[in-house]
Amino acid sequence: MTTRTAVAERITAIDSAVATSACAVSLRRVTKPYGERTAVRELNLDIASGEFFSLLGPSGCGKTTTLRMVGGFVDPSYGEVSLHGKDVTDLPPNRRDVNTVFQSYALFDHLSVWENVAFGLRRRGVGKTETTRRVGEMLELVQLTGRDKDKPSALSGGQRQRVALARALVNRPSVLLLDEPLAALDLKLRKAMQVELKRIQREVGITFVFVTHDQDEALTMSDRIAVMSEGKVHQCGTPEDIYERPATRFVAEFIGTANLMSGSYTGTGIELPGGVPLYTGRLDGCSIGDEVAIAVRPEKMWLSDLTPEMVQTDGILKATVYGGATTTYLFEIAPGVEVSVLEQNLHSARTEERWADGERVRIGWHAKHSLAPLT
Amino acid sequence: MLIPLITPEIVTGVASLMLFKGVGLQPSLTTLMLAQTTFSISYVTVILRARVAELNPEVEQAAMDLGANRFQALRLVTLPVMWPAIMSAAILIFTIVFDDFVLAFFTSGVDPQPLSVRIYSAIRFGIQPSINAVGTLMLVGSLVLIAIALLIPRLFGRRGNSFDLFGG
Repeated sequence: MTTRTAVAERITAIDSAVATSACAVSLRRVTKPYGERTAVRELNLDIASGEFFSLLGPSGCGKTTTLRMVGGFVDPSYGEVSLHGKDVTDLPPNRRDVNTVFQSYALFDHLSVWENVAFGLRRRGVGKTETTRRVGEMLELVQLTGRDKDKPSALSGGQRQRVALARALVNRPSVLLLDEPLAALDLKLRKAMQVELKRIQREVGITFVFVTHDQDEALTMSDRIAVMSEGKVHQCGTPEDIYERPATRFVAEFIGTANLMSGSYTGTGIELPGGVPLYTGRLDGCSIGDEVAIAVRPEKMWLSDLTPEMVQTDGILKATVYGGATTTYLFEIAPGVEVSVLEQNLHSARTEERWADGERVRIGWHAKHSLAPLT
Repeated sequence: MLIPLITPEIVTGVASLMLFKGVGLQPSLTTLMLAQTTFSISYVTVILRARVAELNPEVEQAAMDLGANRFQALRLVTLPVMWPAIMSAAILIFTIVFDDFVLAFFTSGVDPQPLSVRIYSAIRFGIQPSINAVGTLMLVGSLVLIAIALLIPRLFGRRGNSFDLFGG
């Protein structure tokens, strides 16, 4: 409960920071076409100071282009990029107070780990003692003390990643940009580095702008997430907002699994294909005859302990998938409309005691868990 | 850029000679150097372009991200990585130019005379022992240089080169 309160407080703090325009990064109507396609169009984004902010979306959605415009490697065709209220749209990368962790790490292979980390400080003319101290501190922070004389080629993937991180952080930028920094690591190492990155971010208190296509990564690490597709931000909010209250159909389907049910609105519910009625109750903002879609997360659908106030429907069991901690049931509720229901195996796997394929089963969910109506 | 590679050398030679005559340049060390440089650039292009294509553009961007300007990024990051390729290109070009006769014959003056042209002139009056000696030395020297040129990328390229001529 305390962590929830802390998170809530933090979010409130972030919201008020955004409101008072103390934004670390602010993009105004930024547009960048690439050939025929527009990589980023009319993008507005405000990122608060100290925030762990993720740009999430499928490949080609413009998230990396957006990050590179903040870093100064790509010039927007029009629009304005500002850092801490200062317009930096026309400044080259070396004159912006941001640093980047590249997807390929882009380490200098001809220099040692120590020289890699010291590179930025030397360019900025930081004194010798100061450099030694800060590089030492940074190598300690990323747990690479003792590897300072090694060449990057002698390090493992995770270590190289940490050198890239240290090399950027040692300059104490006001904003750190991370371009899918964990994409090249295997699953276990990636999980460990997620925790590690979050710890480092909390320790140094620098604004992180993190680009990823991995929704789990974005949900677990971020204070706020912007979900992007085709150069536009579909929704910007806390991980919980985005998962529980997706603003668009794209967001609902891209983040997690969503059982999408669409049909024409009847005033009391939706008529699914084949004339199957689904009594969802009134849907705000819909008039009779509208094509509407609602979505329900698999874990929000129940197969037992149903209560009368729940939205209920019958489904034919098509498949049962046992997954260790959970079991997923696949039902057909109307011709061509399939939903999956996730049950936790709280006591033991109850697969055998339950239903055989083809059996008719009652499914229910609380109306407040319908993500509706979606466009 | 690559035209000198596919043109017969005698065409390049005669064309250079005519060009120099046309603009009023007497055959001399200057004309020789101009012709040989033009001819060699194509080789350098071929060798270096292959290496440049392998470069990760993010590395130079990283240098700029860390506060280096374009020139510093080139000097501190790109050149050290390119250095082995530049060295092999230089050695290879030296060998080619050193051995070259046709282009040298058309574009050099009387003094200084390239070794190949000088040997050719000497042979016209009969083969002397000194020519044999020079010929052998040239062959061995060329072979050694080519071997070094080929070995450099293997020695330094793979493990990231360890010598940094320009200092950190």
